[in-house]
Amino acid sequence: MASKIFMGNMPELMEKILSNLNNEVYTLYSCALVSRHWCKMSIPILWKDPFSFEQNTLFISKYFSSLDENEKLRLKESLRIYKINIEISETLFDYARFLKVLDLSHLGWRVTEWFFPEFVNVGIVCRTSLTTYIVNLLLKIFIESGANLHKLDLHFSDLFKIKPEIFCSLEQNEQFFSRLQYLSLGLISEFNTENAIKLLRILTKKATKINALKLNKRYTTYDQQSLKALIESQEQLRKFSLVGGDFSI
Amino acid sequence: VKLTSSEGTEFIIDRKVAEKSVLLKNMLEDVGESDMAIPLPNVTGPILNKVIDYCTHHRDDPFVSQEDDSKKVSDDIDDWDAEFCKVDQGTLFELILSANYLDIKPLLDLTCKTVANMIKGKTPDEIRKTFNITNDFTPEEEEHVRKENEWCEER
Repeated sequence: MASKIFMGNMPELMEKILSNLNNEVYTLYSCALVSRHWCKMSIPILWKDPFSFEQNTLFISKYFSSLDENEKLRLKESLRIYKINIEISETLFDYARFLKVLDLSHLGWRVTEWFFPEFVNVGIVCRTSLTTYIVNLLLKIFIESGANLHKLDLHFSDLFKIKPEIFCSLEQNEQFFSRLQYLSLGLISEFNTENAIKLLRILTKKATKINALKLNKRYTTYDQQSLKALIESQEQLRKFSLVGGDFSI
Repeated sequence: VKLTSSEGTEFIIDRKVAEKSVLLKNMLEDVGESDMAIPLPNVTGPILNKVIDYCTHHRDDPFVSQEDDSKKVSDDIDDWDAEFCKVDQGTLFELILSANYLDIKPLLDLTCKTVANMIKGKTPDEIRKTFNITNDFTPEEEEHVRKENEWCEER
């Protein structure tokens, strides 16, 4: 007889066991194929932070199944211009809902990597425009799926820009940042100053449970007023990390 | 402090050892000094014995309350703890259930990590064999899960 822990009677204990396998992508994949119950328990852990894994980027297309038919069509058309064909089929799970960790730089790079092999000769302007489109589409999917982020790494490179409608969705959404515990402020390019201010303001309003804040040496490029407001709004903040460079505080 | 296991066996332990369990600590604070034995109907004698061994060895460890995901590494188990966990699978799962019931977080973390290490690197079939799990997927379902997650296979 298998232990009742693995039979579905005590999901919280099974979750505790499997959460020790956080970074073991191959093992979690094995767990998902053991039985229905094991699948239900391991898939949310596997899809918590898929952008950080060194695996291939095939998983990205699974997120698009929650788009409506018009959006799917638009996406396919946009990709077809660049000779990229994708299949969007129904999925067993709404994988976007499981996202807990979001690093904007990983997101940008993995999205570019996703279509890059077919794309070697395309200039940087086209690449930026396609990355911007896909990243914004994914952000919209994550916000609307009901995901709750635990960790957010902000990084505003020139690889893509966050569109105004994403900020609108974030303004109206109560869940996405409500359980955020770790925030890291990384690079910010000069074209993104306004976006960074907007995001810090939204975080000040929507995130109330940040307990660890990591400031990269480039933190001075963030608007100090907004940063100050964010820090002051966090009652549970216990840990500050300052990483790299000279800090004059 | 007196404790009675599910079969009625009585154990006498130091209060400091008993207080490694948040359940017992709270009970002792509520009841105050008393000669009455605390019944633990969910814990058998042999398991309670093991739990007491653990709490006695770790009696002077600082109390850990904060859950920290980033510190979860499944191979940082010290020698004494690793030796303590060299028990049959049934006992290991009983220890998890008791640590959960008695609310002893470090013991729960240790035993869960030990089971995670037993899963690590195994194929689905090896996991089923190790823990005696029946595969209740239909072939179509299994294929569907595999297809949606095939990105996990080697890069």
